[in-house]
Amino acid sequence: MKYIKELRAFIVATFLFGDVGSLQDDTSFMRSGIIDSTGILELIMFLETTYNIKIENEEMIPENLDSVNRVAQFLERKTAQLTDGSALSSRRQDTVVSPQELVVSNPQPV
Amino acid sequence: MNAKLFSADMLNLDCANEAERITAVMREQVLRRFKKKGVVVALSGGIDSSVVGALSVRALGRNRVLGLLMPERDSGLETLPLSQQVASHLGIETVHEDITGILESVGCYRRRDDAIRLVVPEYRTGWKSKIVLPSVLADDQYRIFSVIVQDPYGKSSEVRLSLDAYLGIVAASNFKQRTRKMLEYYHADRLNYGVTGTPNRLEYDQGFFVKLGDGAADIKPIAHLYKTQVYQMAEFLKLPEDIRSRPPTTDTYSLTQSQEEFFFSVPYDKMDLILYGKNQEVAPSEVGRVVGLTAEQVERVFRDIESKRRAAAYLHAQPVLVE
Repeated sequence: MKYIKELRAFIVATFLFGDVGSLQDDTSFMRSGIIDSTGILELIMFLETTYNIKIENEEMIPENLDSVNRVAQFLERKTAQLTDGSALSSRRQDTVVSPQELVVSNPQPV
Repeated sequence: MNAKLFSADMLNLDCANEAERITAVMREQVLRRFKKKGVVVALSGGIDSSVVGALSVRALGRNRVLGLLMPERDSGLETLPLSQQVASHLGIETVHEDITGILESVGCYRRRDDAIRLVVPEYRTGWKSKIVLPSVLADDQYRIFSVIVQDPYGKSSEVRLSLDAYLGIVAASNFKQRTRKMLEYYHADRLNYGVTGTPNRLEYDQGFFVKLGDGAADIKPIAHLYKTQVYQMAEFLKLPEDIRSRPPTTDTYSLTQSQEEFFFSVPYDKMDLILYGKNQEVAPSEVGRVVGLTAEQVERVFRDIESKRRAAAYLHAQPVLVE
């Protein structure tokens, strides 16, 4: 699946300090204790800046964010929405989006 | 436990016996174990510190209790008069230390405002703010902090916090609790007194305190009491009605902030029963029947309690020694 490799790399580097341990693609971040409440914010920031998407409050749910697989599937759906511009990244709801921001940035290696 | 017995009455406290038990422990620990001559109590005008003040007087006598009044720029207007009212009611000596100057010197307000400007660039001196969490009851959404800002004309807006803004605001705001504790220990040291901590059970269990700030103390006399029990104790101790009727507040941000907005999932009376129910392994449906929530909502609060306990483990941890 697209995004799996780079998401795993981010999780391992950021929350496991390079030690993959028992992380599987379907491991629950919260139940396994890999990510705490501050870590969720860190994950959201990473996704928004790396993939140039805007994650709405109602999208911040375990179904979308609680494992590598779930995040990857969520990203697939979000980036697909970019064709109609509905998921563009913006810090403020009233931010005007420039046309060049419609391009999805290449994920940065981590 | 038998789930059929679960009711709000389960938190009814035998206040006379409990006050006797607490004050006996305070005398034993403060006077005999720690060899201290009395205690310092930081009075905020809230229910918890007022009850600790009253229990301290009951345990040690009013001449062995020093009340510290430490408002700052963002404190509510009622904070100082209410804490003075409590001190006067208890008949204890007080020291008024406005900590605004210390906080300015250390850059508390500037650093906090700089952090807010990371997400609200137009934020300026004269604006007000608070950070808030969404409700845990509605859905399974992760609770991410937002900042509410209000300009001098009263226009307000809400913006979700970035990680660096959130951490920066909290880190700067924590100067307030740590400055207060520093002054509590100053006065305790000069008087050879101990320092009280004033968390109730909800706060202690869930980590609603600043490490080495209000989390620091020599004795925490009401950390085992649910908030509703603290109110019962306040009534038993005949604390002024103004204190007993004041809504719980964090009194930390320039906009009035309820404890539900900042930390707890539901108002304290429900939170007490849900925490008690969880501790006693009562079914969510039964807890929900008593507190007026669905089983699903209670389960969400249960999960929130577990999440906060995991985060609180760090706050409670003593320094690690390598032996």
